[in-house]
Amino acid sequence: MQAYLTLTRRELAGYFMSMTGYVIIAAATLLIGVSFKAVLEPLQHVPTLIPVTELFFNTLFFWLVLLFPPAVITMRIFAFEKFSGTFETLMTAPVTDLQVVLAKFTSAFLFYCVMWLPLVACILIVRSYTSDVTAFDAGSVSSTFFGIALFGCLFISAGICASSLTKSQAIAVMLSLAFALSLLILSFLAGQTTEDMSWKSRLLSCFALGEQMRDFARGVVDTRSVVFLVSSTLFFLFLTLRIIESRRWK
Amino acid sequence: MAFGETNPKPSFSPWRKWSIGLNVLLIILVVFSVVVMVNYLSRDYFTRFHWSTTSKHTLSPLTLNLLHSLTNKVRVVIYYDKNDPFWGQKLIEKVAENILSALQNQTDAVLLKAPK
Repeated sequence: MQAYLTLTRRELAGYFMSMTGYVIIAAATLLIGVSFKAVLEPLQHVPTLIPVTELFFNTLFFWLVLLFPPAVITMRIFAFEKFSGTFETLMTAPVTDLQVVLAKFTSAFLFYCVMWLPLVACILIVRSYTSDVTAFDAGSVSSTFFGIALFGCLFISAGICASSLTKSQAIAVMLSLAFALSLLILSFLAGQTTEDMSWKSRLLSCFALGEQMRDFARGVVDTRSVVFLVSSTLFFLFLTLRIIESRRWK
Repeated sequence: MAFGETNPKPSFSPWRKWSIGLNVLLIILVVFSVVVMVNYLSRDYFTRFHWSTTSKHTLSPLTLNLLHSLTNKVRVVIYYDKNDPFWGQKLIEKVAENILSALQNQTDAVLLKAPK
């Protein structure tokens, strides 16, 4: 446990000791701010019964913040270690592969959570100015963040898996983005199909990220979405572990 | 490896490498099928938790009881403000999809669009 905590602290410090972490946070803050402005501007003239969290996730900027930063956060995790030659040092240290993978995942996830903190500030600022207390329902806000965290887990685990495959950060980020965009396209296709009981629509409905996020933003936590996101995250972490272990027999 | 040896012998023979690789691939396939099965089961056995206190998207127990007791045909009329930015063909399709998905026998549904 001590080794896991030490590794997590080391990885997390890596984000804040370099400019990369601050640039990611700054870019995410800008996109969240622009996104919030895009949501609130029409509401100055026309009132709406829809919660602001639900309107917020419908913007393009929200999906940009959800899809792109995890790829950038995770691109250096294993690829940079391999490139700089510290990978062998890390792997010969008295730590297990599982501890390394979990520590890297935890630190990336914690950094991802820090990156989303400006959204809390945006919500608190708008809440202090709006007269409608139901605009930011605590349940909807918490389920929205829960959804963002679960989506983050999936994209981060996929990014770590991509990073473990190569020593080039550019290839890692491209693989990770390709995965995220493929999911987005599948989600778009799922939105196009009618909800019949055919195996194709049932399969596509698993990847309906837009629908899943809409539920979270409405304050509805569906176990189907949770199972899909958690099981996919665990699968990618398992895959990463197998890839890391493959150095012993390759 | 002896000191000064330029071409060290590989730790594993090619056959051994392929055998381990195949084993790892099989384990990955097994885990992947477990993930698929868990997701397949979760589609049929699911729960929706409503965290929101506004209960805008929650059917009341009274409505649920009424829906479960229905045996005859029901006509659903949806009114929507055409000036609303969310109004459009996509919204109509979505509503039709939701109604169809709630029905046991989809062929019973007759969807009519009101005149403009």
